Amino acid sequence: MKDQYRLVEFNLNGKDVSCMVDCRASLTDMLRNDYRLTSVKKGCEVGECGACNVLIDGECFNSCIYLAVWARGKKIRTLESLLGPNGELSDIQQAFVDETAVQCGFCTPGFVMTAVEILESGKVYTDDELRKLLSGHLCRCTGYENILRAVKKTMYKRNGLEWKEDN
Amino acid sequence: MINCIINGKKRSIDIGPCARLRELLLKNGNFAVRDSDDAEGFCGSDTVLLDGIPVFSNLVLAGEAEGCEIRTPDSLGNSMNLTVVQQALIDAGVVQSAYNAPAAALLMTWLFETNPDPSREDVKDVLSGIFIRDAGYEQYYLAAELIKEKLKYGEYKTKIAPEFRPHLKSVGKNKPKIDAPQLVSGERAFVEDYVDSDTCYMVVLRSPYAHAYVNKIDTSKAEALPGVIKVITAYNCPDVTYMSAGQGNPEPSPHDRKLLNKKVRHVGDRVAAIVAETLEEAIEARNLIEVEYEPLPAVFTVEEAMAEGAPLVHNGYVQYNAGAPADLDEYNAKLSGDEREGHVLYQFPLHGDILHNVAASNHGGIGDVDKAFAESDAVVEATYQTSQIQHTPLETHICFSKMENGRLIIYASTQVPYHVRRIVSWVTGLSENKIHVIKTRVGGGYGSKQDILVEDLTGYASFVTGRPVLYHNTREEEFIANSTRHPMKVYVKMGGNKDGQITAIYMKVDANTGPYGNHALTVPMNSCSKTLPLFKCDNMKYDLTIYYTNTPPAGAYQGYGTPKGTYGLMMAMRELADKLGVDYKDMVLKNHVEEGYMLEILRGLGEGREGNVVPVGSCGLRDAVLKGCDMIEWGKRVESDDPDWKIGKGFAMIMQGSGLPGLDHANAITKLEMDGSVIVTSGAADIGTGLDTIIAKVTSDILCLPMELITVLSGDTDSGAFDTGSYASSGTFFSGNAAVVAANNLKEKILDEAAYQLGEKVEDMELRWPGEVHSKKTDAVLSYYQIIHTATSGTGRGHLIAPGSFTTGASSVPYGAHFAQVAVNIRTGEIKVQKFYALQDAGTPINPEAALCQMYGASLKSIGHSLYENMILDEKGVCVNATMTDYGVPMITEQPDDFKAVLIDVNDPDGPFGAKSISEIACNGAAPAIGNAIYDACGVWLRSWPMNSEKLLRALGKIN
Repeated sequence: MKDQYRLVEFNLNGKDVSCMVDCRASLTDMLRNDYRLTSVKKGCEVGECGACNVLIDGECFNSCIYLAVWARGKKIRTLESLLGPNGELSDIQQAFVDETAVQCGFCTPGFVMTAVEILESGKVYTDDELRKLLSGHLCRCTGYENILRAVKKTMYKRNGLEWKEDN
Repeated sequence: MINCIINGKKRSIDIGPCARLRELLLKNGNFAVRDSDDAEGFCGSDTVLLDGIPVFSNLVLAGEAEGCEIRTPDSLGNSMNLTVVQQALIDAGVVQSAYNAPAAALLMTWLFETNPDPSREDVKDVLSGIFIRDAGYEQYYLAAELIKEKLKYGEYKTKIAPEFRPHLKSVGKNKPKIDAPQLVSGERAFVEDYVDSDTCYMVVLRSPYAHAYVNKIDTSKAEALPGVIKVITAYNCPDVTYMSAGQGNPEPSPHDRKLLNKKVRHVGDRVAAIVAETLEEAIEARNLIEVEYEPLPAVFTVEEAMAEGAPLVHNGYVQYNAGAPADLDEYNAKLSGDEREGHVLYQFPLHGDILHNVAASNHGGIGDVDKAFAESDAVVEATYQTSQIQHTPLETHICFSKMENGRLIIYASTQVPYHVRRIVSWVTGLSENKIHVIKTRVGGGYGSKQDILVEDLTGYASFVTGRPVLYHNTREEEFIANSTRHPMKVYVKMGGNKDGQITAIYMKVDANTGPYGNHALTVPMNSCSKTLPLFKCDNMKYDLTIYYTNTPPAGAYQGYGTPKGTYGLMMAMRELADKLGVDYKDMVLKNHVEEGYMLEILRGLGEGREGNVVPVGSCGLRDAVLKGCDMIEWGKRVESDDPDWKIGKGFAMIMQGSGLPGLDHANAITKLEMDGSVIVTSGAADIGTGLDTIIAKVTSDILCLPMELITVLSGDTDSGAFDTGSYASSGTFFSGNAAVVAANNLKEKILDEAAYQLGEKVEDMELRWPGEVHSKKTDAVLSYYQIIHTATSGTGRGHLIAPGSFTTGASSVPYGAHFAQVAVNIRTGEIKVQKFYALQDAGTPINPEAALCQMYGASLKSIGHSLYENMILDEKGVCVNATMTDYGVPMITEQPDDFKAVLIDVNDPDGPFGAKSISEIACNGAAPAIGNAIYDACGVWLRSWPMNSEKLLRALGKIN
């Protein structure tokens, strides 16, 4: 009993927090159950679909195959951190809406977090590179094209590049 | 870590030993262990068994539970599998608003486990730590009998309540209230049970002054605190003037407040709202807000408010939406017009005069009272003063709101979901399609939840932050920052002749509405409009003036203004009878109205417009008086062996309404589902009274379908259709009738569809139990399942859905008489209600056992108002008894020993299956019945609430 629970101190969406967690719990479980961050979706729970992706120290991970106790000392960011102070959508979220990249929406938060990693790198990727970077996500509704476009448009915008329809 | 056994399971809970046991249980998910009294140990909502002994879990430290065994109410049966005790509580009708029902079920379970044959005294003892405001305690004794019989014989022997209308299967029969299993077993039911775990918390900074300008608010320190999300003040909130009354739009109440005002008008008025991640952070931030007040002189009574040169509660300017007087500019020039004052907007004239602190007024009458008084054989006159009383619902006001995809979702404990939606729409600027109000079960309303007191601020907080927000009044806030019964000064002059005929009645009512005008006109108006029409009298006159003051706000309270008017009139009548040498009973019988009597007096008593003049409809008043006189042995003196105790009897006629004809409106939508069951979506707001059950019962009898196959969804603004809400005793009559109309419409559709499917004529079709259509011509039968299955097939004609709308000009008035036998101790001043009989004509009682509980509950509440309850303000306007213990509500030990509720059987032509309203009227009789009995006992008149020992001894000349 004594060793089953551990206190994990970490930074969650900019705030220092601590949580007593079961050593066997996944980061997904902790984020959903203890912090009710419902953007972290359980799609496959074996690290295949990307619906649970969060940023850990700036790098995207499948939180379902990452133990909660490993979060100690880390900076974790979820989709909820992207919203503005009055609930405004961030540019990448708005782009997903504008490009009809959201259908059932279950994969969207994970996709967006990967997109954030891509965008925050400050680099401009080619289509092939983007496809590869987004390849850890399963989307059954959209056929990926609009998602790619949403990420690409935002990447262009952030890097001050002009967007043309035949890009 | 605390290690204990909770409901038979070993638990290790990570909580400090100094936390309360209730917190530990909440952490374990036992949410039915509730708090009603700021952890004061009064109401018993937090009752659990600790090693087999009942305790208030708020008063036990978590550390004390180490190694102990705890049982909570939710350990009993669930709603699909009720225990004998839970079922008996439901069958006895006591599971009404039911916030304390799980705790009561636990205590009754414990009682029977420790004592299988408890006496009445044992039941009283075990329930002495439970406060019940809705159903009273009397039927708990019945429940105990039922449990005893069920355990002993396997069935009930005692008759639960009389049943009515033998030709009907559901209406008028004792059937379990349909929401009762959920409520008694402590399942998710109330707002607090639906709160998301990532919610933020909101607290309100309240004014320490009764009257002051808020010149500056420095929120910087509060905002810098970690966890603080938003601080809302008068300086950053929407500039929208409205009011809190949940009345039909346009309201007969002045719009005179904003979300937060730059002037505070009572101790406890809102100054700022703080939203933070945790409750503790919100409270800490509240302490860091610096406010610069400019205190102003205040007024607390109508006398102070009407005095020459009195400080003005509203001193901005006046606006009208319609009917502005020609000299409005001139009038406004006399007011300060200070920007901090805001303004007062009348949707139409209510004859207010804020320059003299008058929020509204009304004057009128019939005949010539002056002439009639001059010609009378005797005239009496006196002034009756009522006190400021709080509803004390067990569930204090609460709201949980959140944004979902740009829509504002509001979980509300309210009587008026559609009015909540409209007012939140005004405040936020969101259109009504963007707001979803979900009325959960309501842990007691009694009128206080007819006002939009917390939903405006909570909804706005979610809207502006995008976060889920929970707001929950403390019990102290419930007293000082909520709504209360209007204190009123009722002057009555009554004239009569030696034959007992009343010749003239004059009422002058000066009412105190507090700082804001919600219900300002209509509550005091009821002190006349629901009393004067009891009398066949050609000369009647009334002058009503409603004053603004700086007391905690007043608002709607069960009975509305009627208990106050009844108190004055019935006491005056008894005095007049004595003066004329006529027996009071004979005088009552000579003067009361009867069916067909035209009520001219109502013309001037509309809600700010011309009233409906209608004849008296169905009327059980005479039966109630005669039967009650027999029961209490009117005219027979009772003497005590102890010369200090004097015993007297008294009674009062009472009436109310059944909603507001021409103003109220209700809708329902009834659908035949795919297997032939039925779902009724009603706009109604069941606040524990059994309204959903009424809707199910009328639908059942019209559609010939068992109640188990009918589900009622209500109080949800997304799925329902408009309903003005549960107030003015409108539930049964309006929402019930809307369900009748919808069921009849669905019946027509079912008959038509069956005829089509059978290829026969619709006039040959009839509905039959249990849910089938029968052809009188060919004897063919189609079940509802067959009909709807075909109708919704690929070639069908469509889903059978029927709306029903109900409005009326008819006014079905419930009548009754309440009787009291009171013993007073002329040495100590003690006043004891020995007998209380409530006799009421409710038309057809649709839920008889629940109707009795409504009568017991409301009667006991008004006994409390008459004898014990009173909010006491000090000279600065601070309420000094804003706790449950200090305030003094009646517990089971205060209940009269001989307490009876009797239903007078009358069939009303306009009510659903002949039903009228039942509960609100029951608040009207206690004060005059007891007051008259005190006079009968010892010859003194106690003309102010509460009628307590101090006043009695003073009246007897025993103290100064």
